[in-house]
Amino acid sequence: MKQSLNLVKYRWQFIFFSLLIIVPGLVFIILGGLRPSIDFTGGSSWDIYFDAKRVPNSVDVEKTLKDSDAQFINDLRGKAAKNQAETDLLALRDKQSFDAIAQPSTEGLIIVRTSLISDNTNEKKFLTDALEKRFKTSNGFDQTNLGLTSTSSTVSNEVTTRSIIAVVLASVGILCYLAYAFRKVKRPWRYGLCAIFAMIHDVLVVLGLFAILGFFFKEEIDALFVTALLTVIGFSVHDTIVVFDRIRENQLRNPGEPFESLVNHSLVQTIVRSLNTSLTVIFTLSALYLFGGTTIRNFVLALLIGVVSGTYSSIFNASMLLVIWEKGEWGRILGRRASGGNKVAQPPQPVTVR
Amino acid sequence: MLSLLGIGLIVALSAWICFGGDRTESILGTKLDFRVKQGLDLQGGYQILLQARSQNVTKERMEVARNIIEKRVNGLGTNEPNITIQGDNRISVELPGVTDEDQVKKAIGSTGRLEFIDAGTESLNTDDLVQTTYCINGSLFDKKAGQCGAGVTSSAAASSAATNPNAQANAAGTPGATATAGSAATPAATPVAGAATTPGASTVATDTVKTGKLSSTGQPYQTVITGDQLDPAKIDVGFSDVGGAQKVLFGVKSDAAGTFSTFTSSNLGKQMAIVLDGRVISAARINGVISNQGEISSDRWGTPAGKAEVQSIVLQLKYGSLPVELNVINSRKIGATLGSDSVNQSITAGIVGLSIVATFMILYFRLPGVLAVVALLVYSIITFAVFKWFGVVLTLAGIAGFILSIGMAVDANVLIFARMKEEMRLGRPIERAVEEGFHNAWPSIRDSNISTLITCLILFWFGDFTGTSTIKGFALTLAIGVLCSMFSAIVVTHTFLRVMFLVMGGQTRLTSGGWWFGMNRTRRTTEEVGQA
Repeated sequence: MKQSLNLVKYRWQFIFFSLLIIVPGLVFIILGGLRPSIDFTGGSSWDIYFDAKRVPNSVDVEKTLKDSDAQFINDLRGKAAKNQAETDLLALRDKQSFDAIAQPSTEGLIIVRTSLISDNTNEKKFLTDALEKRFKTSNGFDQTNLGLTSTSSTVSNEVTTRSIIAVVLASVGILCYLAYAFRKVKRPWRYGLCAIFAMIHDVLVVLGLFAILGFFFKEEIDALFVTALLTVIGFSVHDTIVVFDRIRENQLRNPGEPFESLVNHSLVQTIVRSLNTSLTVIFTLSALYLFGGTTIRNFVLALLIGVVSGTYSSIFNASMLLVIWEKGEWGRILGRRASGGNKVAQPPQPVTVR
Repeated sequence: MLSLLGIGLIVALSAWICFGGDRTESILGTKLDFRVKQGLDLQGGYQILLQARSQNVTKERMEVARNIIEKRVNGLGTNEPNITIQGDNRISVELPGVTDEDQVKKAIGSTGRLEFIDAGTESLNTDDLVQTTYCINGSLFDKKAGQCGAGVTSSAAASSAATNPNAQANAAGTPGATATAGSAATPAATPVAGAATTPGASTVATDTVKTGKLSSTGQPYQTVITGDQLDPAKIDVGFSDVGGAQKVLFGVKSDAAGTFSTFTSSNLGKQMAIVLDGRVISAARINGVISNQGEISSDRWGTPAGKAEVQSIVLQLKYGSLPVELNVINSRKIGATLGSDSVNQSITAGIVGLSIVATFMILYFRLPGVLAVVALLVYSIITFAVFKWFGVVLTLAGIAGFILSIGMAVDANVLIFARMKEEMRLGRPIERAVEEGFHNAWPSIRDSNISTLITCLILFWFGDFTGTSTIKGFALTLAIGVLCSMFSAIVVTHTFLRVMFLVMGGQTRLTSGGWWFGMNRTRRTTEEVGQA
């Protein structure tokens, strides 16, 4: 009875569904929905905690920071003997004036993104003191709970390049490993490339959804986000391997079976198991998302989206692409998408042994 | 059975490591540290990435700078500071628990304080923390800078100074931590030299909490000259004529040579010590009058360890202040409360996650599910023991990696059980089904875990350049988790199942009782037709 479940038949529909998510995501990426954090742009980020019942106006926080920085810079200009760091800071501020954008977060927390605060001068202390003076008694500001991250352009540029290199490295590394693992199967690179397609699918889904989140909720992507992406890449391939592994096994077992039915056969055998393995990971990630605290919530969300997408793509995209490729349907993608579904309903053709 | 015993031993060992609380143990003379090391984001603190301002710095200079920073940080009394060199020209400084900006400045400020002190007849030990008469302002950024800092001429002067409230206040910092402002850059602080000639403003360190040692007279040690009066060009490693042992050569600048010779001639046979930031780096007996050229030698310095010591002293004399000018290029301050909240939230998330997974496994796979859950607990204990044993620093992302790996650890079990179920449906006896299940699932488990390990490797490399331990922590815990999960699935679950079929009888075919293995009888007409 399960024999009647023909997943491969609906391959174009499955791929269409993926596009339904990826295309809007891409649109929002183009619209600038991805908001890189200071990890990539450089600058400073303040986590300012107030008494939850007496949270000040964001504009007020921005103004306090801006005013006191202007004051500090002004004092510095008047100073007779400046050291190197101070001269550097003045030059930086001349090039681009100090900016602060405050964004209320969870209760009692206001996240402020400002221009880079110099750690090498007294600036940081001056600004924190100003905050304390203004908000301590009235709003319950406490210096010991202040979180402040400053990233100079040296580091942010490096993080950006390393991120790209890391993603490329991960892809290439896994492609090579797959090609090795599937070396006994016909055309190992094809398996590798299909796995890479599924991986790109997952990366695009995660990026796209975060572009949408960034566009509407101003969520940022940081170095941890890249970490999540890299982990998702590993996962995606991991899931795909389970399916491909079964195809590999069935191919060795039944060399004469038509490829299309072979893949379908393998999918039916592995689908429950693939869902189960992902489910356990999704359970733990959901627990982390719900109870794990705000600091890593976006990181966990990216992982969660990636794992769900990875499961989907390994079942419904990677193997489908294998079939499409095997049947030489690439050429038809553009012209005859609509009739594609009917074509594949034909009885499977025997695979010519090459 | 033997492997069951082995597992029992490993679990017992792990449980002993895990549940004994935070402690250190010594076994067979080796000291083992079983304390959970919390990362900065879990306990709050500072994290700073420093980069040398100049492009061409030598490895040697960076190493010296790192050592000096480490010494200063240790003076701050923070728990488990971590100072490492990154790449060619960077130093990463992690100061857990520190939330005070000033303390950080003291640790990473650009210069240190090097002094030659009069130790009288005492022989001081290396690393002794001492109070000296020379005191400079605490920080470049301290507004009260420049008030203190001059030598004391005699014990009498020192005691009279002790009554001066102003001087006492200035010296209140620990000598080990006050060393930042460049002595060379602070002309007000220079009139130190003349031990017997320059009666200057006197200073007595009176801080009662973190004080260094006082001399035998109950006064701070008399500073003879400071590091900026040494001639860096003349500081070198020398070779003594006898036995080829190494010695330290140093030169004194001409303006201080007079002072130095006066001091050494009147103190022949007595002790002199070199102090960096209040800590003794070397102590020696004065054997001759030194004006502008001196040497330090020791019987101990003929050995390889001695050579290293000579090298180290030479470097510290040369670069008493930081040998490179460092810039902060990345900094992170994490509030203390946030950290402790995070720990509790992570623990909740871990327990909830583990419970859901356990419930799922038992409901879906029934008997093997129960075994898998036991295996999972074993896995958790072993993994946590590994963290403790190797001192893995736990960060928030690291804990996430650990919890994530719980989900992945079951993963392998799911693969094996699914394969096993297939075999049983084909009517194989339990024993065969178990062995076949493992055999067939192994390639998938191996391949998928290797792909995760590749990712971890890349993540580790990536994390190295972001200047934070967060990403590395995640990669490390995930990798350890994956390795332990392979062990748990392949060895632990396997053994449990073997024990199970020993009890049930391995040749049993499941004509009935399939429920225990999560098999639904209506599903028995399976897709495996044609495979047998």
